[in-house]
Amino acid sequence: MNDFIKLVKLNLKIFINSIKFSDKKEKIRWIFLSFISLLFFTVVYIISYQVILYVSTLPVVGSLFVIRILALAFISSFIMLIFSSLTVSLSTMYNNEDLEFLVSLAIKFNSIYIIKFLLTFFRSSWMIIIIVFSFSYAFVYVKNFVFWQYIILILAILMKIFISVVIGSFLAVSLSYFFPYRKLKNIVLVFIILFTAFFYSLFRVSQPEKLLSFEKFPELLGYLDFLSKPVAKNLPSWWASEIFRGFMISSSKLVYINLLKLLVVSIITFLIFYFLGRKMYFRGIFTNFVNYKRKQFLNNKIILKSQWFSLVKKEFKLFFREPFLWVQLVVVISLIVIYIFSIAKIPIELKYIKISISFFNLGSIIFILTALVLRFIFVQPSIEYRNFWLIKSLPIKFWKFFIIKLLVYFPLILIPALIMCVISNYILKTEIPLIILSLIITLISCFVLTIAGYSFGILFPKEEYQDIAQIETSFGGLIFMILSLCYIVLILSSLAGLTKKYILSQPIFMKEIIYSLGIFISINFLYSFTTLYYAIKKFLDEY
Amino acid sequence: MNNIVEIVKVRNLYKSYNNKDVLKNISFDVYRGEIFVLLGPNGAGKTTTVKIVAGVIQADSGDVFVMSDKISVFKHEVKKHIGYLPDEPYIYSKLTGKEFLEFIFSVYNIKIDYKEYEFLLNEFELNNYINLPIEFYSKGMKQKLLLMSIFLRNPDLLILDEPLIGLDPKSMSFLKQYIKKLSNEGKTIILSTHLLNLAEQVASKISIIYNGIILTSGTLEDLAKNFCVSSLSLEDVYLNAIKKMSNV
Repeated sequence: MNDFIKLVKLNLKIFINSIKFSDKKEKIRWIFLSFISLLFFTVVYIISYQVILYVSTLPVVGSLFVIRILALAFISSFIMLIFSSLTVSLSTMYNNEDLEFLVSLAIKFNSIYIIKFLLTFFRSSWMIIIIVFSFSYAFVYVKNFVFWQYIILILAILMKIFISVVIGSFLAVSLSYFFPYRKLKNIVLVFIILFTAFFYSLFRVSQPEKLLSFEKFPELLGYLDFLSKPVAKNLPSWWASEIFRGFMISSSKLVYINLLKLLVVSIITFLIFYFLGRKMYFRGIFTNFVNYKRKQFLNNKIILKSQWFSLVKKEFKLFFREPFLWVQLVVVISLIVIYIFSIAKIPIELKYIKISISFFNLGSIIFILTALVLRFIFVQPSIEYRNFWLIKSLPIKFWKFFIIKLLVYFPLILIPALIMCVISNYILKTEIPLIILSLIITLISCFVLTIAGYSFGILFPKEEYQDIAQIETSFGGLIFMILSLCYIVLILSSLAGLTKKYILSQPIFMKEIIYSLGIFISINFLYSFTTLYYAIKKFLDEY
Repeated sequence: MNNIVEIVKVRNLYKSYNNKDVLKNISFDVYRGEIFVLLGPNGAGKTTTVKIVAGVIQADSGDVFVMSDKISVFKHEVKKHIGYLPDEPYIYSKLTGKEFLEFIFSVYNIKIDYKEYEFLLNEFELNNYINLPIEFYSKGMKQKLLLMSIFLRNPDLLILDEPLIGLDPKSMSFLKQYIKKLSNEGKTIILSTHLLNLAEQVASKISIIYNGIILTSGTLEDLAKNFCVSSLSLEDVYLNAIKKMSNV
């Protein structure tokens, strides 16, 4: 116990020091992140409040609907958290730079095991905790519950979250016992992505929005019948929603029975995780420490190529040998499939709606591109960060280095962009002038976002990271996403006037075209070249 | 004859990080064939100095000339004459050792001396690892691979930052001999270290740097004379210099 407290104190000190000794830039980052979290909490609260209030007042099905929505939300978060804690625990419990150091200390192994589990718990669930707390608060407010009821609800949700994290971590420990950690993490990630894409596609195939039409009344009745049945009643998520129902219908028995179920299952799952899991964990980490093979090759011949060729070859080799980027490629394919599937299922009858959707389709494509740039390009400078000394010591002009980056990564973004643009416009049966416009804007945006993505990567590198996902979710990644969203809004706004006139079949004057294009070009120029300027400056001055 | 050709000329270098002065008015000269050792405690400014001389970072003010050309991060042509080994041997972990060498030699567009390549591969005991990804290398092995990439290029100026750290005793001994051999062939070496015995064994000129200032420069005899040390022990000279500076 003493060791465990020491480790808790150590982690607390690390956290406090990261705030206390942060420089001005870091302080701004903390303030910004706190602001975003607060904003997120407030937005979730407002939306939840409005939805619960609206659904509660629906005649006949109101209360039923509320409790089913809750059950569905709980089961989704329960499953999501199992997967998320599975991936997080693989990083926190296995691929952690302090692990070898901790094992070398005279600290009880059980304490290391538990502290790693606690870190997994916080890292995987903090966002869901914010959402669920905010949602529950809105629920309590709408339903006029008292404070102690809110506390019990929070306790129930925390137990539900705890159970899912224990299950996720136990899965990670069990799988790592049988498979090598590095491969396992990528396999799990691919599995999660495919699983999510599959369920989303199923949801879209069912097209629940069609239930809103009068002809579908019998289907609506069937849907309501489905809602009246329990959602996986043997899972903790259902017990948590039953506690909410218990308070709604003032049934103390329902509340206490389900609370007891949650408590008992929390204890049992934790005991299994503790006694069975730690043995597997102990074996797993030691195979992880000595996980490499020696191979003997015969050919030691050095083959020389041109400077350009060798630089491009290096980029491709580094890219394709990073397993996480392969996983990201699966993400890209899934995103494209989901997007095209969603477009195919949009009911469009009117011409002006079709043109408007084609226009906003462009915005969606650029948004997906931003996500791709974040995943593939923004992360590159952080991956290469520790090798920049080499690049700078080589006799290579620095602009050549940047041009090679652009040559390698631009097509990587352009190809999925063009696929999405052409197929979605084909499905939407967009008119030729709009297709050409979409293609030109997509091409320009790919170019601009590639430059901006790499530049932001240089401006906000993450020197220390355990996996690439941490680079994407870093402060710089957040800033890049926010500014890129602003960029999308601005370029769409710059062309909105012309599109509106086209939809309404109004005459478009040359002056208006020049004006819109002028703004469009300026925005693109500003976003790409300003960021590139500061990135080059930082690259030359600091790295 | 060798000593009259000036290879490196450093004048009034200033550099600061986060409002802290790291280098304050650093100046020195290094001549052809010299083994110039920059000696100092941790955080003295050695690494920053060699990084500026290698053209990896920019000084806030001051000039560095390498073979009469002013060096900066932009001057890629001058860098062809320099072989730089950093204090932390970070190299692309996903490349194999052989691929890394191919990349370096392609960038410098040089032909390989296969005899020397095999010799260094054997001396550094990298034969069994050269086709493995660098992520499986130990720190010392990375250091050896980087040293190989520099030695095989045969540059006029070698800038080695803490080159012995991480090496096994056999490789340490080989490296010291190899440095002396290169010096005899007319190559110039700047060596940054805090290891007194290394400086004592190989240096033809020593500068002691402390808190971003060069306290003294010269041969071991000159330094002993400056600090009134009777023995020719670098340890005594070094400790005297640091003590004197601390009192100031």
